Amino acid sequence: MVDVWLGAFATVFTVPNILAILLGVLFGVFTGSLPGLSSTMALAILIPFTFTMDPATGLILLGAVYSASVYAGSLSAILLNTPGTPSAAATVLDGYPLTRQGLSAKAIGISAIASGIGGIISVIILSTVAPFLALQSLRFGAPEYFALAIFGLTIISSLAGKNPWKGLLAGGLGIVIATVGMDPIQGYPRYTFGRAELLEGFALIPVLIGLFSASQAFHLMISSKSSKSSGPDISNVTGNVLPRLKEIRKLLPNIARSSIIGTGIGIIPGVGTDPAAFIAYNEAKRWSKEKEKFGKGSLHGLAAPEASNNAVTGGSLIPLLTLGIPGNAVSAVFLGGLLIHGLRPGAELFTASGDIVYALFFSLFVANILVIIIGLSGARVFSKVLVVKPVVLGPIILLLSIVGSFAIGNNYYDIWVMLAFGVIGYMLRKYGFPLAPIVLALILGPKAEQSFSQSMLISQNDWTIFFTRPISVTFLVLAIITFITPFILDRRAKNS
Amino acid sequence: MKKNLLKGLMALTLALLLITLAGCGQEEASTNEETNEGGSPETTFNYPTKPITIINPFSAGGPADNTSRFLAHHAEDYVGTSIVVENRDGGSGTIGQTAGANADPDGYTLTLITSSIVSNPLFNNVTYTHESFEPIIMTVNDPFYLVVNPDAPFDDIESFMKYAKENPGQITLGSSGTDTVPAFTLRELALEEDIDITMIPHDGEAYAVAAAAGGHIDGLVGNFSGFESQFNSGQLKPILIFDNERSELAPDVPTSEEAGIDIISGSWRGIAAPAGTDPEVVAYLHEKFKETTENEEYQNQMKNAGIDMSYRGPEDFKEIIQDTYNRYDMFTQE
Repeated sequence: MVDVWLGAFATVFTVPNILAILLGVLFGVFTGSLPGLSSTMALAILIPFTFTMDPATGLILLGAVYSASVYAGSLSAILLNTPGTPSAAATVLDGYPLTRQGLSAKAIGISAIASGIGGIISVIILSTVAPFLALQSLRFGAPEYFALAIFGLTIISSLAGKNPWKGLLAGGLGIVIATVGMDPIQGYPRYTFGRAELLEGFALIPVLIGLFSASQAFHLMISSKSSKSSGPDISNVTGNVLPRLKEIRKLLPNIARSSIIGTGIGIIPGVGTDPAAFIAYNEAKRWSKEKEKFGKGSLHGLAAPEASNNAVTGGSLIPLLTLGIPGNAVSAVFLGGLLIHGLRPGAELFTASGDIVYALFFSLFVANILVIIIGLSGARVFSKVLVVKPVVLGPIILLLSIVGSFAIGNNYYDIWVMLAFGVIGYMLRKYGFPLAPIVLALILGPKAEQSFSQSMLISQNDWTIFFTRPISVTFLVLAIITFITPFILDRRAKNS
Repeated sequence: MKKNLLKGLMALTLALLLITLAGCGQEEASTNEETNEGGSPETTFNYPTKPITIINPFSAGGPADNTSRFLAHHAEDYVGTSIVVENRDGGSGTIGQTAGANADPDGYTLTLITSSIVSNPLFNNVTYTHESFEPIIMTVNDPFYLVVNPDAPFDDIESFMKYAKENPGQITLGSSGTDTVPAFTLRELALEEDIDITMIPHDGEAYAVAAAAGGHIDGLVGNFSGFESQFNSGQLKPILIFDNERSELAPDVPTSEEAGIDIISGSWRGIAAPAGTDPEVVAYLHEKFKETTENEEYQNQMKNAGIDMSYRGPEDFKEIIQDTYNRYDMFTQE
């Protein structure tokens, strides 16, 4: 084992591979932080370049981009109230309130540390017990997916803030939006009005860019016009970048738990970074003694999704490398990168091509440390974006939103979808509806539907299948608890 | 200073506008000429002048994706422009295919086509048929396997059939989607052999493989490359190949012919343009793609990825597509 790691160390610390990590992290931070450019897109752009590279260098580059882009989505989430990648949608919840308190530099510092630790923990898990965990991931059949999706959906009630009903309504809206397009089992077109563009339903990324980025752009443009001095002056950044040791120590259990949640969700094929971030956020809130601080700039609420979504990167590589089953869109692109070099996923990959695989693991470790360094050293520079006047910032975000939604499918139609959801998002914000429930419903709604239908086919319409399987029951119980807790708390708060 | 900059910008915008307008005018002029003279051969063949997109109607990472990506990557050198693969997955492939069939037939939007361009229009309400595509080249013919979990109550095709007959509807087999070719092959098997199987559609082959390896379903119908890792580790066992020849990849697996099942099914894959594309463009692309498939590095990558290469030119490919249509169409009549 020691010589494997020494070999990996030697492979990583060569000029081309260190360069690959550096460039990969920089490219990842760049694409990740711009609203509209997602991790999947960043990897897809680079894949053709890796064809001609040395296998280890190519994979190291992809791994670095993957880690860094998932992290960097938090930068615009914290600073601009618009997630750079969908996986940072949960980071907005407490990241932006911190910026409004003038603590943006500190928030960026904490998110970098949490992301880095999350990534590193997942790499450690990946490099030690991957084959064992991969087998566990196979225990997820259709009923387990259904229960997990339902559990994820119930988090909506705790994301709602002051008014759980508004959260539920927003979640309902998300599910309605998600029903547009062909159904996953019969292929029957729903609410498509005969339009081919709608067969696929609304593409997730333009909808999210619209809801978060464009609506924020509209908000900036409109509010700066109506009143010269709206809200507090947030360009005055106070507080240290480097959190105090005491603060980190307080955050560590939360970061560790979130990293394990992220890795665990990452292992299950087809769930991905976005729900992982929300689930970690929800658990952080559940175990916190200061629940009321969540959504108003809680450091725990910031660290949890950041640790979790970066932990997904390592987690999602587990079924990919050991079973050849890609856990999300990004790792599917990664699989292409493996196969091109003749690296076949499976247990033998770790022995036959151990040098390359462990070099990849070690490089992920290095990339995550780089993420921490870049986040901490760049926090003040990144915060400079707040000096830009809203009147200027609004159009820039809108322009990036347009470019980003067009770039996904080179499709003008996506721009219109994005703008329409920008208007919807703006109205929802204005009337105090939370946006996060819509994201969760959009992602998990279709998963719940498909796995429900699959379960019914498998069990021949016997719905007890959800209650006779231990994993499924566990998630359903968690779902009930998660769903009713905010309502109980709400009532208690009103009574007292 | 500022004024100058503004002036410069305006001049630049104006220049760009003029160039675009001029370009449009030229295009119009040349088409006019063509119609006037009945397609004058004097118009020089000017293709490609911009990047080509290949729409892949399936998700990234699967064998279909690799088929298009390997070809696109190597073909860039031969075709002389960059080739971008665009995954537009969903709806059992109908989404990307609709986009591909409705694209401008200018040779810049191609589609990775599979047998699903035949089956989708037959089973779904879509706006295209297999004739909406002009085949350019077939690069792959990958036979399907019937694969089962070793814990399932059968371990070869005989015991599978026996169990299926005795327990109608009890066997659950996964497919990559609702009206995908593996799903269709399953229906064909059920019909031919008069057995009742429950088909579970998934969101791509990878998820069906995971469900079968985990024992949540009894097996699946899919391509070798999809279940290779599980075959190697013994988590899944192929019991039938829907072909008339045994495969080198799994020589112990009996063919459907040996088992007395009259079904040959594989996923042929290739590249097509929208119908109505200039034959000259199709011929050019065919020639360049064919040269690409002879590239050694391309062949190695395909072999590495466990994909069976098989070349056919536009005419032969068209025939194969029509054959597939005849087979499926007869099936829908029953």
